[in-house]
Amino acid sequence: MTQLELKGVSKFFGGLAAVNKLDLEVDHGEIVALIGPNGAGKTTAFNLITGELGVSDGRILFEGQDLEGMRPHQIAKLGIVRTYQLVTLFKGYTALENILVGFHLQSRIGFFESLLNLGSYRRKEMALYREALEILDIMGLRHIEDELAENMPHGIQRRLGVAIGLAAKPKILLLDEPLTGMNPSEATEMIKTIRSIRDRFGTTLVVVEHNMRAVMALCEQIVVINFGNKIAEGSPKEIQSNPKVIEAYLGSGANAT
Amino acid sequence: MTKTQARKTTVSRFSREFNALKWSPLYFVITLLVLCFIPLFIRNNYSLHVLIAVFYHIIYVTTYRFVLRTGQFHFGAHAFIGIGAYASVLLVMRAGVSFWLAMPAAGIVAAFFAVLIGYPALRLKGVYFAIITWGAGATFRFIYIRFKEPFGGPLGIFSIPGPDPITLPGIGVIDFDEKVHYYFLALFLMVLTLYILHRMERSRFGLVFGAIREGDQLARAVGINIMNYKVLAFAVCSGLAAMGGSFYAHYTYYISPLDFSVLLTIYLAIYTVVGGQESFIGPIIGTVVLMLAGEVFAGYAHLQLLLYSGFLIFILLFLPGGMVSLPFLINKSLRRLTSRGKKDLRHDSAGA
Repeated sequence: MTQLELKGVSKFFGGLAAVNKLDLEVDHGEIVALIGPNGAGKTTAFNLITGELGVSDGRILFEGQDLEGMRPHQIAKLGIVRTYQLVTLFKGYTALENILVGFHLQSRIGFFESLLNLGSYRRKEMALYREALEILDIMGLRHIEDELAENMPHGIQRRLGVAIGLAAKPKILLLDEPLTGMNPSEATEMIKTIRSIRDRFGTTLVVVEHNMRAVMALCEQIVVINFGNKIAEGSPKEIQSNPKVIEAYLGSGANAT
Repeated sequence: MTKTQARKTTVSRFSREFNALKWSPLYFVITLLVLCFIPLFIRNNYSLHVLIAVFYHIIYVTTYRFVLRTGQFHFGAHAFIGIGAYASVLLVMRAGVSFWLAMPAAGIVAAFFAVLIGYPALRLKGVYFAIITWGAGATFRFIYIRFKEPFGGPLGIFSIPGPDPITLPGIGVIDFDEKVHYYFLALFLMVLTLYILHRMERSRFGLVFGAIREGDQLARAVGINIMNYKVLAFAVCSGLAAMGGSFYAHYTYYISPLDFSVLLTIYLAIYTVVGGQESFIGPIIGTVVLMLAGEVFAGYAHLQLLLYSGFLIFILLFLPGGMVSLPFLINKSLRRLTSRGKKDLRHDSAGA
């Protein structure tokens, strides 16, 4: 069943089409990769889906609902959560606190409730605390729960970025280059973790990534875009042998695996 | 650097404060008891007046800091304090409302104006927000000066009545003809304000406000409605500050537009920075120290701002964390000194 659907979505910056009539269908529980050379419009597509940019043309449907005109936090509330390309986390916070902020959506904070600090409120906070530890466990960050985000190595920061997104309990998690700057062993670990997120929570994942080896290993469906246009779509095997892709993206004679 | 060491040296600002505050109920109760018994020993009105002034300035400064902590450079605290003062005075003197209703009403009026100004203005950041709030303050002052009716014009409003007598169960009638009565009212208001702000900061509200400051884009992506939170903080703080302003008006019996000039906000900013805005207690310490120092050097009142500025520059240069960071700093340098002799342990002195 289609969960997220882009129908002829375009975005123009002046005369430049950053995304041009893009059609995209993402099914429940799928891991989809969005790949393409630099400047192909992948991140713009993310920004359109999460409402940070308005679409110039076309429609974006999430579970049948049109996202037109919705603000980013409203779209997040529907269940579409993203991470960012540049490391974005709350630098002055510990890993645990980062996760607690990510919990914002699933637990409303009552103003007077927190002023009065009643027992029921405290129990709720404790439950959240335990849940946050669980998420840190899944992401393999449990041992550094008290560490400040700004003091973590890059690879760990990226994991934490994903963990924050996960804490929001998304239906679809959009990961913008989750493997950038990771060494091969970190990347392998990360791929395992991303897979386990899907297996455990049934979260649909859309990944933008340049690391081809990782994309081929991780994703079931790959969409290739170039200059804002979709040029190919299919399983990793199909993509690898698609001459158009090889020409546009991998270069002639490249060996993807 | 080993893992355990990293954990020791890097405690989050939030949790560090969290831990520090864990002790606070005890300290708080002791401080409160001391403050309650002070009037037994200090009988002269001048000293009580200084303490009362410190109390309502603490209301101003803590609310001011809270807005700063949401990442907004507030420069119009005086505007809302003024609204509170004028609103409650007009309610009491023109509409005949009791002070005990007029004070919270003044807070609500100021909160309303904060929402009105906040929704467009809180979109701006840094110096732009500062200019808007400054402008708001100037505008209100202009209105007070320009419209003699009902604001009293440049001369302000005279002979404001004190709070109405109130009967407290077990204590008797409080008629506000003694300074002590004002002392306890100010103390009560201050404690109330500190409690509300402290709860807001320590609950997940505080985390969210901090998150907005640390990275508003990401905060939005995890579903936080940034605007609503900023406006909430702005309105609550403005409302509380306005109640302080209302107290000020009925305590001094006289208000004029001059009382609510930008100088007030500048003083608040100085108290905040000198005390250290990172921690909850910092601006309070800054206020107490600087105001008491101001009284000690009252003979040099014309030099006060100059001295404050010099002190401010000194703090910015040598103690960027404010006065609250002093114990940390001393502790650290002491540790460095003592560890120098022992070669074998602690290789963290360079990195920490």
